[in-house]
Amino acid sequence: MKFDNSWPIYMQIIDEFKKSIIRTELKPGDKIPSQREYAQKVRVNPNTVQRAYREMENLGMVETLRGQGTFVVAGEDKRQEMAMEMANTIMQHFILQMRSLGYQDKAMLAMLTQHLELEEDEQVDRV
Amino acid sequence: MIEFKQVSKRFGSVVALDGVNIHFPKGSICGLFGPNGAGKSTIMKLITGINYPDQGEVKVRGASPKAQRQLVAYLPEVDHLYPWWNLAQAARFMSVFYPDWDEGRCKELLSFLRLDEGMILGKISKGQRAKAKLLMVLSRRAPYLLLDEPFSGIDLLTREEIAHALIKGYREGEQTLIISTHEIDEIESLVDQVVFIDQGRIQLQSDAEQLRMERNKSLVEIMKEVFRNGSQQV
Amino acid sequence: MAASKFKMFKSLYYKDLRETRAEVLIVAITAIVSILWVWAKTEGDSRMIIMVPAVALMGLAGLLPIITSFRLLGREWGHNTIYLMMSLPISGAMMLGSKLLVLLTEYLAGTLLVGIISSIAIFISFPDLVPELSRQADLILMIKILISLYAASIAAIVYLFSCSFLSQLCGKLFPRASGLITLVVFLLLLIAPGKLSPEWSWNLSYPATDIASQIGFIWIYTGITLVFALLLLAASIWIWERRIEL
Repeated sequence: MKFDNSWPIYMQIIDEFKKSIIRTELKPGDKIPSQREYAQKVRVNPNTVQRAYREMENLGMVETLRGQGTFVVAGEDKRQEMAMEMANTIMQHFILQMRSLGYQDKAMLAMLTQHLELEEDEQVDRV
Repeated sequence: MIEFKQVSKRFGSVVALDGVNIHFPKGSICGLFGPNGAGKSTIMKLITGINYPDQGEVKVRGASPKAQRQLVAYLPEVDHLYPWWNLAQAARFMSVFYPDWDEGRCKELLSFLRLDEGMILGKISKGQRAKAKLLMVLSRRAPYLLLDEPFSGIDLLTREEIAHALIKGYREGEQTLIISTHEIDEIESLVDQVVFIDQGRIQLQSDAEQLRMERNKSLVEIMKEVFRNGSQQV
Repeated sequence: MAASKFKMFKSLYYKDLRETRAEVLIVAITAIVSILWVWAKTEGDSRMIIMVPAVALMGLAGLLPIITSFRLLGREWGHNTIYLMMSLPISGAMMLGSKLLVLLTEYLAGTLLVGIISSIAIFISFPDLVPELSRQADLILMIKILISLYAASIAAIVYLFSCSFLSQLCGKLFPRASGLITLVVFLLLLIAPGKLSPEWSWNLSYPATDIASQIGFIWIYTGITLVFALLLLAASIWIWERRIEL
């Protein structure tokens, strides 16, 4: 995994796990790597990984059982909440960026629709 | 914990450190960043007790560095091991002087770094020698690890190997690791504390993640910014 | 803890001992070759001139360790291994003590080798030398004289090693003129004993007419020399521990 060094790494780690849970690649009860394993895998400061794990516990995403490891605890409600939250953030970012380019709401919407249709067509072409 | 209070040091007419205050918190991986000749090596040598401050004081866990030498594993910038030693001899020598030597860990890192016990220090490549020096430091369960320019003059692949071995060998919570380098890229995601030093003065000291959060910039970019602005506080 | 301190000392000692192997080997080979050469060229009583290379070799066996003493310490700076030595959690006494013992080993090995080789050559050439000597003189007394002289030579060489350490460490305090300072301090320390000892001490041994008290005086001088050697060593240790910087 490649991190963006201009943004706190522990937040990127958390986002990575959030996405996995949202996509249901990680389900409640699934075990995630130990902090040590994860730090070695992504080659990041173990203290940073520790911070990310601690934060994920506070957010109710995972739980660490002494001597057994860290497990996903986020249920369906939590999953939807996180999906909503992340999607909102992305939307806000998108809108903000588009506005900064001078796009008005209508133009923005039109462009979005256009892009989605274009993508649909490409998929149809492929089939 | 390692602490510098108003430390100044000069070599002849050259001012190496000028009223430096630093605090290396316990259990952190700290990057000591700055251009060549900024005073990074002097800081390392003061912690090891092979330099003495002209003014101010340096404390390692509350005592003088010289009295705490058994707590510190030091990797100097120069090649400090006897060139006629092979790695096994060097390891055996270290194990006699440091009760915290971990033979199992040494064996593990030896194969991880693709080194061989029989390699003679004076006859191996620069990269291998850098890895051998690292082996001597990481095989100890020392509370303080000091790495002075562990990447200088080493090829990219070996740099990555060293960075990887660092994470593998590091004991979080127990060990405080200080790495000095003028090349941040390699260890950007490795450090949690950063100290920027230039011309013997501390330009900035902070938590790495907090810096990224506040400035939305990578450490490399922040360093450029800090050193461009010179000694004025950023 | 005592056991591990001993192990540390042993490690330091053996690490440096390898440095002296070549010198001891040179002394041994030169001794054997030169004595064999004299042996082959002479016959009968003239074989006594074996004593000439023997004495010369004794000088060599004494000189080489002094040269080694400069190499042994200077080499730590030359190879940057001084960074390792200074960061080890050990005292300067252990560091310099181990080096001193290595040099002493070289001296003892060299002189004993020369002594044994030349004695063997002499005794083979003159099989009736020992019985004759014991008839004419007190053999025990002769051995006593030899031992006291050897002890005096050891004290002298230890003094020289201490001079060498102290002068080198003084030199290291002034990186710009390291070599010059070392030379000056070394020469000063060599001259010092002659200049400093009071006039009467030189005449002290003369009133003693019998050999037994002469031996006694040799031992006293040996002791005094050792005390001064230890003082210089203590000064070296102090500099090592508190003044040397890298």
